[in-house]
Amino acid sequence: MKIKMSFTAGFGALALTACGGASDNPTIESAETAPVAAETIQAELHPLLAEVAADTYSLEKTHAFMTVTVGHNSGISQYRISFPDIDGDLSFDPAAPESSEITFTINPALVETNYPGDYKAGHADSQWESWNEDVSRDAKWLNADEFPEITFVSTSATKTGDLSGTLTGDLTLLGVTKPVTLDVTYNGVANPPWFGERDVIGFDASTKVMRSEFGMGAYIPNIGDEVTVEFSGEFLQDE
Amino acid sequence: MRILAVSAGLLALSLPAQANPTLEGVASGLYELEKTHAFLTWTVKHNGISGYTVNFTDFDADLVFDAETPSNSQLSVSINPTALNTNYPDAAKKVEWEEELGTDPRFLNAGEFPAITFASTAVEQTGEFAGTVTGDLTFLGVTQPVTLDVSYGGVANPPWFGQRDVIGFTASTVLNRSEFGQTSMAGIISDEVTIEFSGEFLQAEE
Repeated sequence: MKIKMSFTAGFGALALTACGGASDNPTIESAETAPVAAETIQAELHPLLAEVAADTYSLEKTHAFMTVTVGHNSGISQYRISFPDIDGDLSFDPAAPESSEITFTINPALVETNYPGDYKAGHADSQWESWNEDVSRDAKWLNADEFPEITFVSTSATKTGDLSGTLTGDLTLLGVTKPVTLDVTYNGVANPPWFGERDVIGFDASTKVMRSEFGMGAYIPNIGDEVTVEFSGEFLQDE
Repeated sequence: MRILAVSAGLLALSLPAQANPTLEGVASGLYELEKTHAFLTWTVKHNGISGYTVNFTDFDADLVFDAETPSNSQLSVSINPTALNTNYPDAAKKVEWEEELGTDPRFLNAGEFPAITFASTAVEQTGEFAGTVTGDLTFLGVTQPVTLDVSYGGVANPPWFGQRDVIGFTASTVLNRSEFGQTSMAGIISDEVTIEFSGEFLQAEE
């Protein structure tokens, strides 16, 4: 949001005014006349973070992808499942990304395996109507009837580079809560006109978890214990 | 590749692979895609800030595999551009959006170009279990050479396939959609498209 943005940038701009002499128009242009202050700003805030509102954001669900990947047949190929129903609330401060907080929820009742053809034709004995339903509801997989939500609640974040960091939190899966650390990359901000002044910020994140630690041991090692979790998506500044 | 931070990030991530793949004892000859264990996606960068990944859900491939001299192998792939999964969160809009992506002249234009095809022209072995597959990709009626980076994942013999071998591969490439004449929404949707595949091929029955 531009207004918030200028508040955030405002601290830098104020510093500019102080260093560069009185100015009623503390814009980026005026930064060029105050190189010391400009360098200070650059050192503090990467250009991709410089115009981002410190605020709360919600997942922009039409541009958000979350997948889990496991090795199949002892790892000869990678089997990838998508979660189409996810949501997240993010509190983000571009000046202090390590203070960010996120809660993320995944609906295990909706999974997409991209299974081709007629599942029942080859699995007449299955109690499930589709492979998606099997993965979602079967007690040996996501057991969504008993555990209708997968959640991640951050507990701490660190900055590891200008635009990267780690996010540690509690992952609750199948009723088991374990700490998990995500590697996160911040990709930048967009301001599509249909969202008015609201900022949209994009991230990639990934981690690996051992599903056996959450009590899901079926078919290990034919289906890998190690699960690679990947996310890429956008968060929209709250109104 | 790092420019494609999103997709490159996915590639850079080491995925769970077989500990000790082998080519020993693997049958040479015709293999067909084992469609229930095969994933093909394209990823573009959206607004410069996130990766937008779509699955092709109807594709097939034939592989003539030479286990002793993998560089003699041949691959042909056919993709149905109308069968897409965007994981769009609203069920009704998902159908509309996927139909638009598949058929709109700005996107995959399947009405005019009902198949995307790839036919290998050269295979090179670059490591014990790694190589490149170069071939002709035909997309939107334009044919251009494309080179895939391929890794061989190993062989499996699940009992339900009898004596037939199942072999796994992971492959990826990056292409510019503008080279195939697609320039829609430039600036919002990246020109660069990352294609990723992982899946299994089943030895054809004699």
